[in-house]
Amino acid sequence: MTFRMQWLLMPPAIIVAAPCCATVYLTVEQAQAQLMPGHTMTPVAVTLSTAQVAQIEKASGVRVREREVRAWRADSDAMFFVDRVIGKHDFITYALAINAAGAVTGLEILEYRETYGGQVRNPAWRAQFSGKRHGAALKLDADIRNLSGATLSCRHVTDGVKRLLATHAVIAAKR
Amino acid sequence: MRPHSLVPVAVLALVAGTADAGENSFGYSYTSDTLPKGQSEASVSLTHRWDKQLGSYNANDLVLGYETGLTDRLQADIYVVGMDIRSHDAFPLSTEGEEVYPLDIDTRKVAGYKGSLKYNFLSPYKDGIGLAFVWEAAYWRYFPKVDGARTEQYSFEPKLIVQKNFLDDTLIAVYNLATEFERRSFPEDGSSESEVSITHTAGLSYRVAPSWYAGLEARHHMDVLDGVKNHNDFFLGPTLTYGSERWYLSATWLRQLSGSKAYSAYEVDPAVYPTANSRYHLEEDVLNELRVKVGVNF
Repeated sequence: MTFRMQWLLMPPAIIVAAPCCATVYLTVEQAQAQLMPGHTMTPVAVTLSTAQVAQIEKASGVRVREREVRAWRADSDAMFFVDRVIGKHDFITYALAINAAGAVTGLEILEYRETYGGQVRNPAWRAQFSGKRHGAALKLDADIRNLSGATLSCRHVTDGVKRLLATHAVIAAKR
Repeated sequence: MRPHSLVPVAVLALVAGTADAGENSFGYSYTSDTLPKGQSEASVSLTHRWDKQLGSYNANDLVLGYETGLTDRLQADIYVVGMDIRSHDAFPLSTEGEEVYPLDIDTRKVAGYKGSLKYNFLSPYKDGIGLAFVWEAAYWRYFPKVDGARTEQYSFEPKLIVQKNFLDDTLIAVYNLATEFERRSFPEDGSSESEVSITHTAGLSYRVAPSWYAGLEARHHMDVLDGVKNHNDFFLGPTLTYGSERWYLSATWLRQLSGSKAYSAYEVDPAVYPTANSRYHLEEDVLNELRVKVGVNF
């Protein structure tokens, strides 16, 4: 196999010319301040048992990929979660606030690294989740509007919220 | 008998049909995704092809592409295809039913141009299965697949793309069916012919780590020249892709595992060319292909 080595220079040249890099929109602290202003947040160590994973997956219909749950409890008994779902290439990190009654009060995208689909940061799209409780359909083109051109991100964030609401229900029941 | 330069270009379908998958999970196969409205991608695809039965044969297909989303479901693509062929005593390297003789070739040219429209009907992320169609038209002035000979060819190629995702979209399975209708003439002797080329491509790719996909791709190709089945071959090989927010790079190696009996097997003296009855099709194709593709999104 012989080869004209100069051909190999073209792909790296394209890469070097390409813009990059990953975008962090909010830190955890900034998201807490936006979603739960004025509240004192206390980290809660949660490691899901096998039985809890099965319970969450059955209730939500969404696979639990990580047993460690990043959660904080507010003095109001509301909870704040930081979670990640799969994007096309990397993870989409988001934060979810759920009040003491089990209803979503806010969703923020913290980190988004995908080529397309960043429209999930749109406030109007995220606002659709407010008031959703465990048991809600949370299905694209049903109770959650899909964003054309961002379908994968919409689907996975929606599934993530559904899974976290089921997780919250399991954790709350345990207390 | 036509001179050697009048090589049938049935295999051009391979270039026309698979050089620019336009997606980054595979090297040869298309996925059903389209670029969102207003988004664009520039890509460079380099396919190195080598190994006949005898002699030295090395070719590079360079494809420069620009793709843009006209709507969230409709994508338009344009490509320029360049060729770089060097052959020394390579065998077999011929056209059907014609005398075979080794050639020395050293040529680089712009071989042709392509344009296509791709429409996404179903999304694998919310409809359970992905479905898209591509309509591609091409014009070729040279045969990049074999010896770079002069021709005038127009072709139209509709493609069906089916995609199914598993395991939270971390495992991607695709199947493509491309049927290319070709009409070509040979300026050297004024003759012309028609050919239908059918290519099946399939791929399976798994996200082994964030940004990294690894898998397998397969391709089966068949030509029907003036109503008669011409040849077929089957390739299989690994594919690896790295994708980030703004660019991706994929590398795919395909190895020919089987192919129809060479045309030349009927023409040559086995005492001269003892490997003529190969189990591979190596006159229009090669044993190995390595494709590296880089795309930038903007």
